[in-house]
Amino acid sequence: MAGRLVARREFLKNAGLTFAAMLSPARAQTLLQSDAVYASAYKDDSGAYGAALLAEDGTVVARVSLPARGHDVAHHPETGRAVAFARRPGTIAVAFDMAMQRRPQEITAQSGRHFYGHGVFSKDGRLLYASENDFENAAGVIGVYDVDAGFRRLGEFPSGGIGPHDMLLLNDGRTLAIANGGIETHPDFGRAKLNIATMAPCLCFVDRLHGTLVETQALPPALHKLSIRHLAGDGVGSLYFACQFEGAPIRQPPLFGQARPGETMRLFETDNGHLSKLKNYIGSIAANPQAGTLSVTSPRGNCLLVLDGKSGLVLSERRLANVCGVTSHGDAYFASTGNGVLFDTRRGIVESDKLRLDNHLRRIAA
Amino acid sequence: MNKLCRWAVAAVFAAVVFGAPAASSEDKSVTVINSAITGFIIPAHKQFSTAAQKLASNINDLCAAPSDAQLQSVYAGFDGIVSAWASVSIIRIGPILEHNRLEKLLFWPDRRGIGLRQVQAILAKQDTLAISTGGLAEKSVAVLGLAALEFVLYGEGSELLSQKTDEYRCRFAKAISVNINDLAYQLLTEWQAPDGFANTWQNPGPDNALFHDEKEALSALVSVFANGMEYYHTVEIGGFLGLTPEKDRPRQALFRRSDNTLRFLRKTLSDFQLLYQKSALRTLLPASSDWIDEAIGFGFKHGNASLASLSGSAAQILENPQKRAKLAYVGTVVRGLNENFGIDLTAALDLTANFSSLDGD
Repeated sequence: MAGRLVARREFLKNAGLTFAAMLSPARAQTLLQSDAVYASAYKDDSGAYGAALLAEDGTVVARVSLPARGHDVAHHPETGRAVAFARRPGTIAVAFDMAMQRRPQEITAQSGRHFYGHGVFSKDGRLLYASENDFENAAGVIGVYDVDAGFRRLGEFPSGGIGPHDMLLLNDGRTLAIANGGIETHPDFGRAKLNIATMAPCLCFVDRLHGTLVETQALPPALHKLSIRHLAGDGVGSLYFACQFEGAPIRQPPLFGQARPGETMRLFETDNGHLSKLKNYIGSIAANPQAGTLSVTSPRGNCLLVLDGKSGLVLSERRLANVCGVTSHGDAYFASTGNGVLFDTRRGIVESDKLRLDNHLRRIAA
Repeated sequence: MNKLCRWAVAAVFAAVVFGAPAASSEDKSVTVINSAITGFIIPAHKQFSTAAQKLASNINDLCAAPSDAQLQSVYAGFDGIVSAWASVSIIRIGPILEHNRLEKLLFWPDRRGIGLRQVQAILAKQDTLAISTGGLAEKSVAVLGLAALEFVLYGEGSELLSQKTDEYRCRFAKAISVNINDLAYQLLTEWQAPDGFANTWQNPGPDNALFHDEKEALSALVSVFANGMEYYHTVEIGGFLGLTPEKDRPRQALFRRSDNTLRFLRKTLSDFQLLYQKSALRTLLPASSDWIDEAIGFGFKHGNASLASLSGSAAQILENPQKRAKLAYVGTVVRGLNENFGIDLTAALDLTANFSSLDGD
């Protein structure tokens, strides 16, 4: 606890006077006492979109407006930079600063590209990588942005597949793991999926320094409609992946598994009882290396599962309407819902400010 | 804590997390689903099967004895199947999602022209596999459905259809129409089978793999409307109507070659209204939410009226500012319907609103 408090104070120190000044005394106190701070995209009661910083007790301590619906927030702990990405096929991301000392800055996708909703910073915080769609060529790309040059776009490299979504920077600081969902879309047709019959998702490992594809991993051909969408690192060199199945709902294939560069991807088997509750759709995944577990959520199935990190066996199940965002918290998990409910898997429902929280929840401090 | 007390706490917890629906709403949910199935879905699939059979027969006759008159019969049959397809295409649940049937029946949108290229290659090569019994079904989904058939019947070179007996192009059209007929029959059979999808949908419960309770079954019906409205305004209209006239894409309009774009749009929207009426979904709304039914009625009424007042091909509509504005208005109205179903009705019936109505992320 003492360590967490120091981290909290450090956060406030980094946040600086501007941030502290914008908080009411009660909220500043809340933040100081909170074990953790989280970020999530939201929609409020007036229909406005934004990204919010939330204390562990559910208090919204800061908000950044977004011009359209957001998806995930990438952040860099040391620099305090964060970027909220538009949901696909949005073309705007908003960079902000946890310290709120700079005005939020819009990043506009290059012509012929749109964001997919996820991104990641390099370890030193100087570069930002964003999953993007080269929609005229139906090719996934990773846009590279220079953080200190006002997020100027430096270039791009292939993601290794169609429909890149979530990505992770592996522990080597060099390899990007990219979930290519395999689904072709084009802004002319909104979010319609154009290639379901032939989709071919893959997990790619790309050298971010040279933009070269190091390795492509794929599931067996019979599972070509299992779209690999979200990733979570296990802290020791491998990662977990979570999928959404685009095939017939009556089929219920495994939806999550583990992968490591140089090895064959492994899907975790789940009993039919739990699998059917996920409705062939996992919205978010989080790993908790400290506890040796992972968690997956299904907003369609109103369900959160905590699983053993090695076997994938279900350890616990929570029913929670519209749950989607999930992140590790101590040896447990913190989850968010589209109904504005926050949930701590140790303590239960956390009273919150009732923002409709969007798909992902990121722990940004503590 | 005694057992009763624990139960009470659990019940309060459940009520907080999931909300407490009116019991009568749940009781009526299955009735609404039954009404949707018997009042709209089964008849729609019967009509589609009948239309597919008729078209296959017409094309068979054309190949055997080509003439302008017979070609006109085929065209009338194609108009008929476009209307029947509109009714079936809004039911994006159940058998149509299995075995790529949706894509096999209509490979669209196809903005890169994959289907067209493949169809042209088959015609140029006079590929015998494509016209052999069962051979076509082995081909790419892009050459199997209504979009492929439309090009064969109406595209460049289609004048040959009325001129030469048993011409390759006609035999290819016949093979596609037979395949569509097979698919239409499969859909109908699977909807009607005693242990088919209708039975699954009508009997939610803990042992039901797809619908664990009445709410999930009802959500699936509401999603048909919410997803359908989104698809209608973003893809079926938005696919060719740009945000500005400069961004219009008349060549992307569905069924433009057969001049059936407007017919399809009209039938689709009016069938959504018919499905809404036949299902009696509004009877589940609490009295305080009557306004949602009124808003939905308003949307359908004005959307359908605007479409009825339009005429011409997709290109002609886009070229005429008044007509184009009317089409844009239909898109706006349907976007409102999307919110009425996906947000308002979903909330009023205490159902889970998906993060995304068309799909997730």
